[in-house]
Amino acid sequence: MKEKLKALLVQPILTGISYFIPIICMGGLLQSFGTILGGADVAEAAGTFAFYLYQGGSLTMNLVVPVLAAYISYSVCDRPGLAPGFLVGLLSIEYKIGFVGGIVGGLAVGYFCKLIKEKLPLSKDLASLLPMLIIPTLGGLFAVLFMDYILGPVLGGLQSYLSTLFAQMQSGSRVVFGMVLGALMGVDLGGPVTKIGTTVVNGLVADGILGPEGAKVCIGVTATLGIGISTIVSRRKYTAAQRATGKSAIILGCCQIAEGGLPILLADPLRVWPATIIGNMVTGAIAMYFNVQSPVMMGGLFAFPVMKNVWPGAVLSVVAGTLTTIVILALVRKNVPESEASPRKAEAAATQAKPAPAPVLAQTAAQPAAAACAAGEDDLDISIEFE
Amino acid sequence: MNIAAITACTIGVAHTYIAKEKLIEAAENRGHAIHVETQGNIGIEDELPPETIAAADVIILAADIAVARQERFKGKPIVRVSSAVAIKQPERLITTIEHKLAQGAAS
Repeated sequence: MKEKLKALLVQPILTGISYFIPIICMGGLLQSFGTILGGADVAEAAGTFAFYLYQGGSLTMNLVVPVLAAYISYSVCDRPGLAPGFLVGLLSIEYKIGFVGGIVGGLAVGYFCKLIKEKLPLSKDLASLLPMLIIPTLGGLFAVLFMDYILGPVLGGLQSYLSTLFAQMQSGSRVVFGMVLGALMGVDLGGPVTKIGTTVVNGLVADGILGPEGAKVCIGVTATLGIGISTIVSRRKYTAAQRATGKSAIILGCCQIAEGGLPILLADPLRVWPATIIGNMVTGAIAMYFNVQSPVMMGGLFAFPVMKNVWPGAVLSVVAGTLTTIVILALVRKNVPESEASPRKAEAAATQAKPAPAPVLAQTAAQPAAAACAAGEDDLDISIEFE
Repeated sequence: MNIAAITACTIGVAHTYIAKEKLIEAAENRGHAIHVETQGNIGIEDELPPETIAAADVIILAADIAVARQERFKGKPIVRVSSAVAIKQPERLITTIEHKLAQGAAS
């Protein structure tokens, strides 16, 4: 059951994510470069080089949700799902239900197209029209009906309710607001839960309230930077692959691309959540206390030059939050097995074992698999299909 | 046995390639011929040649995401697992396939 659910829901979502990650990186970094060169008013400085960089980045960011939705749909029903998937993504942006809308809508339209592909009885002559004309058109029709009449109103209503809730909370206490924002952003590092908080915060910028945005920029750096540094200082607690991810997480974290920490978070959420959530809460609280302000939405450490109250507020908040994340990770995570921790050592052990009569047995001695080879009792639960 | 495999992971920069190494190591240790194609974020590398697919006794798809161009494997026996299985238990994966194929041939 769990495996089935994984194949039906998780794999499409992961496929969508894998296609939009390069887009987020490119768009986010172009925006950051533009902001560094052009300052806070870069968006108004039309015609300058910095403006073009920033514009390129902003336009790229508009692609993220459509690509997510399109490739979720693609994962479900292959190429014919792409066109209606893109439409779902664009409609998600239109209704301001971003990632959640893209994921739910992408899955819905993908399975709808798959249904047509497999169930619609068509003569041979018409079958060639199926991928080019019939599926995309019917899929597009479904996308319009589903998004405009169901998902848009429902999710949109939910989101605006949360917005009001947030706005009221904000008048209560700035520090609590920072902690709530940090906790939300620590749950999924840039995912749908994060967007609940950041959408509200981005909205406040339009009203000239820049404090929460400053906290957001600082928080966006913290968890991912903390995870990245943790893979270096607590190296025994990460596999070789995770340490490689950690290095890019440091760079991505500094640029406020929180998604960089996702691979490590998703691999062991129960142990990583305390670190990302509490670390982010520390950052949020400190940044709000010192009233760190940011007129820009992206950039991370590179946005610091255009922000207000950077010293000591922003610097202190990021350092304290990052340290908190690192310390909690060091306390909560377990050491990984030696073989996974350093492939070089495992290889060395294997080479040393080569002269021995049975290197295969030597390598898998820890598992009963080798011994059970003949009997087949310890087989994995897999099936061989024919297509 | 001739094995053709594809590995792919979400981010497409690390696990994809570790899974490939592990599969090759495990298969060769057990005396099988194996060719592994990777579908990382860079795109398809070491693409499976059509003759390799035609000669393969089994296709292993060790992927967390949708594998591109699966139409190449029409009519072939396919085993689908997550990349984690290929990374953590490659030997068990290979022996399980041996058993299942042997059973299939017997029945």
